Amino acid sequence: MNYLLSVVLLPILVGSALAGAALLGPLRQRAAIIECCVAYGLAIAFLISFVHEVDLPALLRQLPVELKDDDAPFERWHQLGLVALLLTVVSPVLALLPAAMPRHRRALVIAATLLSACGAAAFVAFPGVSNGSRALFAATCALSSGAIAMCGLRTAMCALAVACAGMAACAVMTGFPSLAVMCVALAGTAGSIALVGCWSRSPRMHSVAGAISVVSGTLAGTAAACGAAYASGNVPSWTWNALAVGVPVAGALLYRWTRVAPMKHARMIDTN
Amino acid sequence: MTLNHAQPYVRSARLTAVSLGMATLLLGMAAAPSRTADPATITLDPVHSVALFRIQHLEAGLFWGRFNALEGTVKWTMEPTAAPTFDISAKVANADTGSEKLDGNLQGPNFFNAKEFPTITFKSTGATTAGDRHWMVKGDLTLHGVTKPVEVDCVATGIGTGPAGTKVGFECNLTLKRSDFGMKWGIEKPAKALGDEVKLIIALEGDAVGGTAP
Repeated sequence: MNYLLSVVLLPILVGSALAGAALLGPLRQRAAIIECCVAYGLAIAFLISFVHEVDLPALLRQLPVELKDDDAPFERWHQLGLVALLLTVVSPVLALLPAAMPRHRRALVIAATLLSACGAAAFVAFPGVSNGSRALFAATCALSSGAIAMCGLRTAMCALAVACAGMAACAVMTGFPSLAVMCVALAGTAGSIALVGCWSRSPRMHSVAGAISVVSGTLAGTAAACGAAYASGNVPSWTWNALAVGVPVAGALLYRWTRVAPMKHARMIDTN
Repeated sequence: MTLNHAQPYVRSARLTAVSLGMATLLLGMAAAPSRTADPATITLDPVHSVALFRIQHLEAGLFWGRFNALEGTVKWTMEPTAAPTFDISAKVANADTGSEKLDGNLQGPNFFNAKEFPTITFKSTGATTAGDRHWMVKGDLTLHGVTKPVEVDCVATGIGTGPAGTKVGFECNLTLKRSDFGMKWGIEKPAKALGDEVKLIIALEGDAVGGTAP
C-alpha cells in the first residue's frame, strides 16, 4: 500500500496540486503561469515516481557525480529519470520565455519542440537502438508535442492520460512494472489536471503551447522509446511508437468531449 | 712395496669419487623439478550443465527456476585434493521458469536486464580443500553488470566414460543476495514481493581433454 502511495498517488497529488493552484488560483488569467505550473507538474510527477520506484542514486548515477560506496550498475533505462529531471528544470524557462517575448512566441515554441525532440533522441541511448530508431524517436516526440500544441489543455491532458494508460498496460504485459507505474503516475496526473480543468474558468484552457506540449510530447516519446527498447515478448515494438503518436490521435478523438463551450469562453479575456 | 703403500690412497680416492657421485646424484635429484600432473581441460556439455536458482515469492513459497546450457571450461588434474579452476558463463536469455511470461519478466530491466547485461560469468581465483574431491572455491561472479567475490561449495560428483571419452561432473552450491548485485526490485519496492536471498545449485558435466597423470 505504501508502495502505491509513494510511486503513484504522491506524484499525482503533487503534479495536480501544482497545476490546480495555477488553474483555479488567482493567477488563472496568466497564460505563462498556467503553462509553467502544468508543465512543471507533469515533469515533477514523473520524476517523483521515478525516484520512488527506482531510487535517487540511480538518477545521480546518470550525472557526472561520484557516489560514495555505490557499486550498483549504470543502467541506460534510468535515463528516463534524467529526461524528467531536465524537463523539470527547463519547463519554467520554456513557459516564461515566450511570455517575455510575445512577438517571437511561435518561433520559440517551434524551436523548443524541435530542440527537445532532437536533444532527447541524441542524448537518450537505449540498448540496441539504431540511428533510424533514434530518428523515429525524435519524430515521435516532435509529432506528439506539435499535435498537443493544437489541442485545448483539457483535450491534451485527456489524450496524454489515455496514451500513458496504454503504455502502462503494455509495460505490464511485457514484464516492465517500473515503467508501468511511472506511466500510471503520468496518466493519473494528466487525468487529474483535465478534471481540475473542468472547474477552471481560465481562458487558457483553449490552447496548449510551448512548455506543456514539449513536456507532454517528450515524456510520452521517451517512455515509448524505453518500452520499445526493453520490452520483449507479447507486445510488438511498433505498438509503443503508435501509442506515443497516438497522443494527438486520442486528442482528436476526445476533442468533442473535452472542448470548452465557445460561448462561455468568448466572454473571457485573455490577459496574457 | 710402492704399490702396497699406494693402496690406501687409491681406496680413499675411489671412496671420495663414489661419495661425490652419490652427492651429485642426490643434489641433481633434489634440483630436478618434481613431476606434477597437468590439468585436463573439461569443456562443459551445455545439455548436461544447468544452474538451478531458488527464491522466495511473497514470503510464501520457494520458487525454482533454471539457467539452461551453461558454457565454459573447468581445468582439473583429477587428483582428489587438487582444486579445479572454473571459467563458466550463462546466458540470461536461457532463463527457464516453465512460464514464458515469467521468463520474459526475468529478462526485463527490473531483473536481469538482458539487453544491457546478457551474460552471467564466474571465474575462480583460488580454492581451499574441504575434503576428498570437495573444495571451497573462491572467485569473481559477474551478475547484472556487477562483479563481486563469492565463495562456492564445489564437489566433483564423478568421473565416468562416455562415447566421446572421459566425462567429469561437478556440483556447486552458492547462496547470494541479489541486492548486492543491484537487483533490488521486489525487495522493498514493492515490499517483500520477492526475497533477497537466492540459492543456486550448479550442475556441471563436461568432456575432459588432455592432462597427464602424475
